[in-house]
Amino acid sequence: MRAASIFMTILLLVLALPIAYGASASPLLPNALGVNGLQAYALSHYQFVKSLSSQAFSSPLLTSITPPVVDMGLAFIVVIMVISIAAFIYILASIINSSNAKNWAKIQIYEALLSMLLLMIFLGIFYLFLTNPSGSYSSVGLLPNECSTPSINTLFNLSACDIGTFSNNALGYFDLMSVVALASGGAPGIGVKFSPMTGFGISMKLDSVMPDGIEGMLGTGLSALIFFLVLNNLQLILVSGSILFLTFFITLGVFARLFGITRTFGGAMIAFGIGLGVIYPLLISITYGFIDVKMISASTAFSAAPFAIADMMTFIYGSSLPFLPTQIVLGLGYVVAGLTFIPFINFIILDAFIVDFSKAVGEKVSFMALLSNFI
Amino acid sequence: MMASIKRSNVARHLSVIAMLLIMLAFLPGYAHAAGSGYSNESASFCSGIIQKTTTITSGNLLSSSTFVISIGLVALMFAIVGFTYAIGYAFGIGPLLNFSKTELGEIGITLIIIIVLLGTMAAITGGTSPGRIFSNYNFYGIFNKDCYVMTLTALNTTSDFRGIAITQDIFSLMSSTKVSIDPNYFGFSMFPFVGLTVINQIIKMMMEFTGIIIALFFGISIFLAIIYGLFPIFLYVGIVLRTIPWTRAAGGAFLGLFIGFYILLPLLIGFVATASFVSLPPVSFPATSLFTISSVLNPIASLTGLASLVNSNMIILFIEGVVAPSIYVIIGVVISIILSLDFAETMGDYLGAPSLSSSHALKGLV
Repeated sequence: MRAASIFMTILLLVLALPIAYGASASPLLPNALGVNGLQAYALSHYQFVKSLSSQAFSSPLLTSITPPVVDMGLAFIVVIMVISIAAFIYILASIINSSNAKNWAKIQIYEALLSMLLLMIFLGIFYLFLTNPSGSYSSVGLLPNECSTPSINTLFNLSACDIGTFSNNALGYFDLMSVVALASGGAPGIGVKFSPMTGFGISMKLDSVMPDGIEGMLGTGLSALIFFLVLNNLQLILVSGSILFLTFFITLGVFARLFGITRTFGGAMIAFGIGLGVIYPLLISITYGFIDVKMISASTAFSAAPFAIADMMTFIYGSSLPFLPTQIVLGLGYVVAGLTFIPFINFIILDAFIVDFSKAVGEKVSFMALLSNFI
Repeated sequence: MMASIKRSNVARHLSVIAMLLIMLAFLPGYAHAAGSGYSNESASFCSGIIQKTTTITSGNLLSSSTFVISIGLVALMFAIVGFTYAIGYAFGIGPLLNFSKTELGEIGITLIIIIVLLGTMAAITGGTSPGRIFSNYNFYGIFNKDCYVMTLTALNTTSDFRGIAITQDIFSLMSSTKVSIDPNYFGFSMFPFVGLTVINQIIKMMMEFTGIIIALFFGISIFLAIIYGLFPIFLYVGIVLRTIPWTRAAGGAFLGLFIGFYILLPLLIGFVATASFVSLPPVSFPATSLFTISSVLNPIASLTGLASLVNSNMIILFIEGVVAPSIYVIIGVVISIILSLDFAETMGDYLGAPSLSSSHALKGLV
C-alpha cells in the first residue's frame, strides 16, 4: 500500500517536470508526457468553442441608431391636437357655463402638457445616452478592454458589449469545467495482488483515485452553470432591445396617456419603456462593466488549468501548502456572481423603479411578477 | 402631514446610519487571528481581491467630479422646483404648488443623505476629498478581516477535504479486498471488507458537505470583494438618480442597497467572526492507521475496530472539527445577510423606493 502511494507520487512528480521546464514552450508542440498535451487540447478546444460562441453570443453592437424623432414628432403633433381640442371645449364650456366641461378640459390640458414635458425629458435622456461614455467609465475602472474600441460610442453599445463579453467568458468557464470533468476520467487506479503460493491469493483494487464525491459535485456544478447561462441570455435579449423598448413603449404610452380611458395604461407603458430602455442599460453597464474588468478571462484560466490540476495532485499527496488556484477561483467566483447575484440586484432595482414610477403616472406594473411568471 | 412624518422617519434612520459609521472608527482596523493553518495564504488572497484603494475610491478626478455633479444636480433641481413653485404661486395652479412643495422636501432629504453619509465618512478619515472617503482604513479593514476569516475557513477545510478523500480511497481499496483459496481449481473466495462500501456512503456525504463548505466560504469572500468594489458606485448613482423626480425610486433602491450591504453587512459579519471561532484547525482522520497485516487476516477484530473508529472517532472528529464551526459561522452569515436585506429594504423604502419593502423582492432573493 505504502509502496503504491510512493510509486504514484514519483509518477506524478515526473509528469510535473514539463510544467517546471516547459512552461514557456508553445502549447502546439507535441509533448509525450501529457501535461502540455492537456494544455494544448484545452486551448485548441477553447478556440474552437470560442469561435462557435462568438457567433451565438457576440455582443449585439448597435452600429447605427436612429433617434426616435419621427415617433416622438407624431406624439408631439397629437399632443398639440389634444390641447387645441381641449382649449376649444374650454371656450365652449365658458360660453354655456358648464363647470364639468371646464374641469374636464383643464384636466386634458394639464395631462397633455405633462405628456409634452415627459416627451422632451425622454428625448433629452435619450440624446444624453448617445454621448460616448468610454472616458467616464474608464476613469472609474468600469470599461473592460474588450469594449474599449471606437465602435463602442454610446451607453447602449457599451451595455450590450459588457453583457456580451461576460457571456463569452462565462461560456469559456463552462467549457473549462467540462474539460476538467473529462480530465478527471484520466485519474489512474491502483491494483495490488499478492499470491504467495498456488491456490491462495489476496487482491485489491481501486478503479480511480478520484473520489466518488468529486464527480457528483462536478456534475451538479455543471448543471447549475448551464441553467444560469441559459437564463443569462434573457439579459442579453433585454439589453439588445433596450432602444426598441424605449421608443416603442414611451411613444405608445404618451399616445395612450392623452385619452382618459387609457391614461393609466399609458403611464404603465411609459414606466416600462424608461425602465427597460434607460435604467436597465445603465445598470448593466455599471455592474457587468465591473465584473468584466475584475474577472480573469476564460483563456487565461485555461492556461492556468493544467498547473492547477498538478497543484491539486501534489496537495492531495501531502503538500503543506494549501490548494488555492487563485486565478481559477476568482474567475469562477465572478462568473457565479455574474450569473446569480448581479442579475437579481439589477432586476430588483429595475422592479423598484418600474413599480413606483408606474404607480405615480398610471397603473402599477411589477416587472419581477411578470418575469417570474414567464420563467 | 404624511410628508413630515416620512421626513422624521428618514432622519431617525439616518441617525442610526451615522452611529453605525462612527462604530467603524472604534472597531479594530483589522485584527487577524493568531496564525494557524493557512493564515498567510488567506491574508495574501484577500489583499489581492480587496485592495486598500480602488479606482472608485482613490480620490481621482471623476470621483470628486461625481460628488460635484451630484451637488450640482441637486442645486439645478432646487432651481427648477423653485421656478415651478413661483409659477404655481403666481397663477394659482394647485397641482404645481403641491408638486413643488413635495420636491423641495425630497431635495432636503437628498441633501441630508449627502451630508450625513459622506460627511460622517469624511470625518472618520479626516480626508478632505470626497473620493478619498472610501479609502478609510476601517472600511478596508472590516472587509479585509471578514474576507480573511472566510478564506481561512475555506483553506483549512481543504485539509479536511484531503483527509476525507484519502480515507474514502482507502476504504474503497479495502472494500475491494478479495481473498481467494482454490488449491485444486476448486475453492472459494470472499470479500471480507465489502461492508465498507456502506461506510463509504457516509464518507461521501461528509466529502460533499465539506466541498460545499469550501465553495460557500470562498463564495462569501468574493461576494464581499464585489460589494467592496462595486457598491460605492451605487452611492453616487443613487444620489444622482434620487434628485430627479422620475428616477427617485431607482435612486432610493441604489442607496438602500448601498447602506444595507456596504455599511451594515460587513459590520455584522465582522461581529459574527470576532465573537465566534477564529479558524478551523486541520483535522486528521485516523483511518490510515487502521489497517495492518494482522487486521487484514483477522476480519472480526478489524470490523469491530472499524465500527468503533467510525462511530466514535471519525464522525465525532468530523462534527467537532468541520460541521460545528462551519454551521455556526454559516448561520451567523445568513442572519447577517437577512438583516442587511431587511435594512436595505427599509432604507430604500424611506429614500424613495417604497416598493422595495412591499414587494419583498429582496427576501425572495434569499
